[in-house]
Amino acid sequence: MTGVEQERRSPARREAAALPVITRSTLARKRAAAARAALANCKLCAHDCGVNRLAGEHGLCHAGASPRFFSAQVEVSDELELIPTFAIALSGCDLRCDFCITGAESWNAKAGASFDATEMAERAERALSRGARTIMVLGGEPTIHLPAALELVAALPDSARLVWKTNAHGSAQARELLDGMFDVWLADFKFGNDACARRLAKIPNYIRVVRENLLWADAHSELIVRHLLMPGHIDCCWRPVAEWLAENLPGVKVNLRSGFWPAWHAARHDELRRTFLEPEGDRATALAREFNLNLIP
Amino acid sequence: MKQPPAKKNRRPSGETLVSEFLILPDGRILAHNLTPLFAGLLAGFNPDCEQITSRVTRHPSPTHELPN
Repeated sequence: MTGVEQERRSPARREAAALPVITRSTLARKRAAAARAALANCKLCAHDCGVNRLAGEHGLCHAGASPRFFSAQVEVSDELELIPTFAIALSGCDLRCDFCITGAESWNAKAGASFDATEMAERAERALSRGARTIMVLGGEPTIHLPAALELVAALPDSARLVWKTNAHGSAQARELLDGMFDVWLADFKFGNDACARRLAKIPNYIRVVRENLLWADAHSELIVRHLLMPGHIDCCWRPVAEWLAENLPGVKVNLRSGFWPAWHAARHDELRRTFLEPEGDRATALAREFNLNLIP
Repeated sequence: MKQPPAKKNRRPSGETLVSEFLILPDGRILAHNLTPLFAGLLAGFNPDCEQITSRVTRHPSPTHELPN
């Protein structure tokens, strides 16, 4: 039995199946409480730290029990089918990507303002009433703040189209709690091999974890895979990502981002000291065509 | 008198809007966290650029989207 098949028979799945009339918000409230309790032995991301965040311990993400956010606004820079989106960015992340465009906030879970799910839901609803099509929860990485994210879902209308923007480094436990909560998973597939992931984001076992998450997301929700093209990483990162997607998730929506800029600590790496050049972009797009990927704008 | 340390967090929280741009020597503009307001502004600079005009939506600019 595959991991995905196992999870399809998970208690959360059975619970939802046994209660066909239960609303998303009701289930989210229940899950939020479970997610909060899980902070006592936090294994929400694949680092599997097991620290007690409720008692003030910190794992590799350095996040406490109360999340903060550094941005909440209507944006139009995401996939065309998702915009305008009301994007809520929670502070802190379990990865340490040197090129992170929001490094100051993503590497610091204490950045920004304290997050109140009810207040944020009100703001999100206002944005929806004024024309936003979706509500996007992102970071940093929202998985490390799963209790608050689920509290937000519980406070939102069941009809709202919700997007989970993730680095796809969550654990099986997090996925189980997220099952059925978000309409779209917008997931990054950043690196095509473990060596680049280790060097640029200090992350072990990246490929195994991200593939596991993507396969699960595709089986449980709508999935859009994002790849940020990095200078000098077409052959080592983009090519294997494209190849794997073609083989394992044929037809999945892929958004190829070419707007890399050398943010945060990118200059620690020679090849990341510049932006992505147009000829490189053409080559990357040609590769996508070669693998018959379903590119979306 | 001791001055308080400068805030490291450059992003205001609350309801202030933030978009970030990188203007390249060749004239390209890279944008991050693009709001409808700034997308409109960029589209005004270059109405022939489909990448940006496709992001200018009919989304109205409510008061919370205007700079404080």
